[in-house]
Amino acid sequence: MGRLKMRPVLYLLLLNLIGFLLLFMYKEPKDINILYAGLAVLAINIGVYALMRLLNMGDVYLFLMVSILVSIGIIMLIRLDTGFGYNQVFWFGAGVVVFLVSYLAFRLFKYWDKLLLLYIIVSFALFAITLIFGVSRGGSRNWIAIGGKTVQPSEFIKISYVFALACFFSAKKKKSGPMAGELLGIPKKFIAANIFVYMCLGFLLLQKEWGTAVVFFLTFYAMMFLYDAPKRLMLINALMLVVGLIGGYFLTDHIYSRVATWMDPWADATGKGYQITQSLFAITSGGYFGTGIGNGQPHFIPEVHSDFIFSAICEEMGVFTGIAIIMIYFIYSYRGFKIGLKAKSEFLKALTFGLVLSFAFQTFIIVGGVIKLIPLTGITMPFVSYGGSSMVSCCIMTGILTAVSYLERKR
Amino acid sequence: MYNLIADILKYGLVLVVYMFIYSVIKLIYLDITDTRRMENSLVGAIAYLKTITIGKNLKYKLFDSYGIRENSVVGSSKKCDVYIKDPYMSKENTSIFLKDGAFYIQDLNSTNGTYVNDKKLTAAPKRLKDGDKIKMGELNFVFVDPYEMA
Repeated sequence: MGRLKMRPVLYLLLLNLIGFLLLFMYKEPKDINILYAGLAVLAINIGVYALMRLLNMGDVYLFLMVSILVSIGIIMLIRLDTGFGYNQVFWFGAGVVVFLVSYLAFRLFKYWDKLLLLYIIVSFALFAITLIFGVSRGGSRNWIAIGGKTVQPSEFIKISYVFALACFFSAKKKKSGPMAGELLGIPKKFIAANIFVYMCLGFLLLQKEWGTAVVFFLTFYAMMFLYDAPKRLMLINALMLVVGLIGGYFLTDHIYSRVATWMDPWADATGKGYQITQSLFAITSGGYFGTGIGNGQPHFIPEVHSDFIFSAICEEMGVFTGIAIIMIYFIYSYRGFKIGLKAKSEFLKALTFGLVLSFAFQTFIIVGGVIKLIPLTGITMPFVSYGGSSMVSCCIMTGILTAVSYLERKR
Repeated sequence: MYNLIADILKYGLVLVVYMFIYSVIKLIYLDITDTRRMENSLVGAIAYLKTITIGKNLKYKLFDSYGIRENSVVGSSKKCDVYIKDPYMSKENTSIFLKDGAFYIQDLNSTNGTYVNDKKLTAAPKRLKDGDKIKMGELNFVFVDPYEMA
């Protein structure tokens, strides 16, 4: 199987070769840095893959999925704006370092399930920092500036949030203590988790980050389902969701306009519906195989480098590439769930499921929003969108999942 | 000029992305560290038969993978190295053996024969390659040789 193992690397090499050579020919004036960027991306991907194979570090398929997503993303970003592209190469380099560090940390340190209080404190501290020092960008107050760079803390809160949820759900039934027993027929650990989740959601809504709030809630709801929460509690939460959405629709302009443009973007195609109609035009004009890199006009879409990169990819690389990207996300989630099913401790299972669920819901919400399947909410597309916070937090997640897959292989 | 090149190469890009996905799915499928239902014969095996018969209502136990050693006999007798209770298989159906660093397959004069890549084997041994499809009795397998480097 030696030949087979190298085959994905061969295709990755071909993809980068075609992509970066085209970019080099496309950009005027000629910029040799594009070729260096391509070499750097390729070297990082192949280097880490070889390292993982040689040292038998665990599941390699997750990283393969990451490397093709990042390659497609960077090719598209350099085509859109060289500066964004180079930054993204830098962030990918940083992300890989973080990936290896979080992998080692998770593999060597064994007491992650004992730190519930730390996760809660970290989550709330990050929320508080965002509220106090936050700067507004694109309607949401969810960025903080550190030394000229902006960071999006909610990407990192997502990880501490899932860690905390995993602690709550995997807690064993206790005979005594504050978490023992039931309240109104509902085990107290579920009640504690509910309180924590609604506090987080409250913070997110204060920052007007509806997209992330939906991801948080859906992850929590799916995990309650997995951990067999009482039906009454599930029902109450479903009611809360409906109340929250209806309340948001009538009380805030934010949600109201999003839903209105989703129902009929053509009513105000030059104003509020401009972004989504341009996105639809871009996807349609590409057709099955796209216009070819550099032949389309993706710049008509506002925010094309972050939230709407999927439309740009569909326009220039074709709907087939778009479908392929969705398939790649599927394979990533499938591998994640498979790792979760085989994980040894209850905490690792809960953690893996939580991380993969949040990843899958986030992808669904942004891809669905861009193609007008569901109302649009601005969140990043994991590994493809421009952005350091998103890239680094997704790399942390992949590192943890890979470490879990390593721990379960040891017998 | 550039537009024309980009227009042609876009088909290449789509093809490469799909080939990548296909190659990864194939790797995942053949990854034996993944198989949950494995037979004891896998311990110390140097090659594998991966079962690909699915969706049939079989009345006997079938594993996901069977280990192949330097000289393995496949058949429905309990004495065989790879023992499968397939009623369409002869007691000693097929032999798979290592010779000069390569695997060979030989039909042991079985009633229903052995097929490699849909071709029926004659009495002479045939060289086996990684990824060859083997049919014995009513079952289909893929031959996996992890050490084949060519």
